Amino acid sequence: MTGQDAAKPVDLARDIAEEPNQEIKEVIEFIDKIRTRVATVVVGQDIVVERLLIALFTGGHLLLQGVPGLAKTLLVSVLSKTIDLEFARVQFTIDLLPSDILGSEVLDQKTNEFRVHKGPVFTNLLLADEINRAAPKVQGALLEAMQERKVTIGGENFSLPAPFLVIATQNPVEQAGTFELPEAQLDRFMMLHRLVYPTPEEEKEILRRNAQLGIRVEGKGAVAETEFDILSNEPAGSGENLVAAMQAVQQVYVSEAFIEHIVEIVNRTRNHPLLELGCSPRAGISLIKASRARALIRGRHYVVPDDLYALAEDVILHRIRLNYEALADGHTGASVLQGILREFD
Amino acid sequence: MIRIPFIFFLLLILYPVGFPPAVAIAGGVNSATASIALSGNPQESEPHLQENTDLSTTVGFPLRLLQTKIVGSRLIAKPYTDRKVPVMVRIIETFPHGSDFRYDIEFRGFEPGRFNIIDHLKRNDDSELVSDPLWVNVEPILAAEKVRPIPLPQTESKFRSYYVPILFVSGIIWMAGLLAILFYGRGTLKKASVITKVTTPAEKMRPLVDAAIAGKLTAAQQAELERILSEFWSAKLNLGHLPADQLRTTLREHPEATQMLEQLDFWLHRPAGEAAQPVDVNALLKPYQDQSKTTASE
Repeated sequence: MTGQDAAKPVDLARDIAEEPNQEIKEVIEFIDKIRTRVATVVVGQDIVVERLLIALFTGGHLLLQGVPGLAKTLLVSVLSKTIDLEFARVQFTIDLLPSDILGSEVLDQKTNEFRVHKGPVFTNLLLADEINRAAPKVQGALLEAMQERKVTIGGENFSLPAPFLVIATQNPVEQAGTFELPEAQLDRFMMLHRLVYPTPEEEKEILRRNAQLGIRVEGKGAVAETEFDILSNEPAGSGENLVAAMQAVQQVYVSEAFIEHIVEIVNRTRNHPLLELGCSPRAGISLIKASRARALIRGRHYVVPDDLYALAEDVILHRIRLNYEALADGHTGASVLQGILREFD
Repeated sequence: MIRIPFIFFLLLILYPVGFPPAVAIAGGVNSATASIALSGNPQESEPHLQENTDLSTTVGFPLRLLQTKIVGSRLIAKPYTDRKVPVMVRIIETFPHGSDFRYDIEFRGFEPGRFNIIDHLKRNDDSELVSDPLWVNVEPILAAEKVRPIPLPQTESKFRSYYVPILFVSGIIWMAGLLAILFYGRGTLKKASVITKVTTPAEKMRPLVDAAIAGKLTAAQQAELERILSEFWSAKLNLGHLPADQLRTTLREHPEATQMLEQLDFWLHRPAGEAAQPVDVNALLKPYQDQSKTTASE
């Protein structure tokens, strides 16, 4: 999360004063409904919701990096219910196999024939929890599915449902027994968003809401209610709304000057003396896609440099690598990136 | 695989010099050692001494007397202060033996002759040492006429005669290098600081503003001008510490800067023909043209 984003919540008031056209107006209403529904369950995290919507509207994948307990699973769960999408969660562990995610052929003893058992990847929203705990073979299988949006099981190709969005998480503090995602695989995530702790005010609200949760009677016993229990099953929008939003994103105007900004920044990362690895062309593509979606979410039908600067850290930072000299001098990826963004000649 | 022969070789080299007595006894360092230690049992070394039989060794080879009982208070080796003394005696280890002591003694003779080990020991409490002599015959290996080894030829190295001039020249080169780094390096830094001073946002902006007013800006230059304008306002409002995204947000909240950004949005980022009236680039950039001129003249 950028400094600005962490400092204050997203202002739901739109960036421009004039009335948007009818098409955009409907999309904005849809987005507002989603945000309102999410806000009934999750306190704060407006920027994460915005990043989730950007990923959803652009078909990109999102990697969330944060310590446990920041409502990552809850967010994805409530988002899927709000838009009436299928949701699956896989906890990645060291002994997970590719077939546990993709699926496999099993022998049907009644018919004595093999039949395909599809794995949890066949869903709309897949939460890959702690992706860096799985072996590289499993990570590779998932990332291949993310890229190609199809899976091969027993020699047969299966297309993944549309939309297909992977939201992976990784814990930045417990690195023992993990397999760090290599740069080539990180590049397949459109954005890597770093979650931060809620503000004290948000934290108070979380505690107040949690204190109001009761218990749920089940049979002869009862269990304590969680935030998952208060999710409304009534969707706030449908697949059609989502498709309309995706179409609207495609119509957001991107100026030549904006493309020049992106090319300049991407090239600076490639020629920077403190960087060993700069941005790939995919970074530039992701910047434009994400900026378009952000512009739409903010009620604009054109992108402005503000979109670029707000998303730069999430889109670029996981795609660059500092060289030895930079590390020895105590530079961080974020500081080098800010230097690149603020450079004016 | 290479390590095993290497270790064996190392053992061979080290063997005669400094191994514990038990090893030396078993291997037999030389005939002199063997004559004392071949008995193997420490108790059996005592009769040798009591019989007062001369022990023998050869020049330079150590002789070890293990578990040698000598009556009286504790003994120590006399300090080896006189380099002309042709023998060296060391007490390796001392063991109590009732009111007396037993010793592991190492003797080494540097010249042929007959020497009394007791002459090279003294009481730890400085009392008088009265004991039977313990004679050792140090026999030469060389032939009788070869009293001393053949002296090594001492030829003077050719390099030695040039050593001082080489040192002197190296010192001059080193000093010259140091001075070059100090003065040339500083000069380069000064030049760099001059360049940095020139490229302030206002200075950098000037040719672009002129070109924009003349309508000759490419898309890349338009983008560059937009970045420089943003940095110009950052410098003006002292916002250099802010990240890029926060800077934009802050400028959007500033009454003057936000007008400039909105006009830039209309000019550069919105689809053509959306503005109620076309953006007057001259009016938009005129203040910045003047500003850059002012800064340049300063």
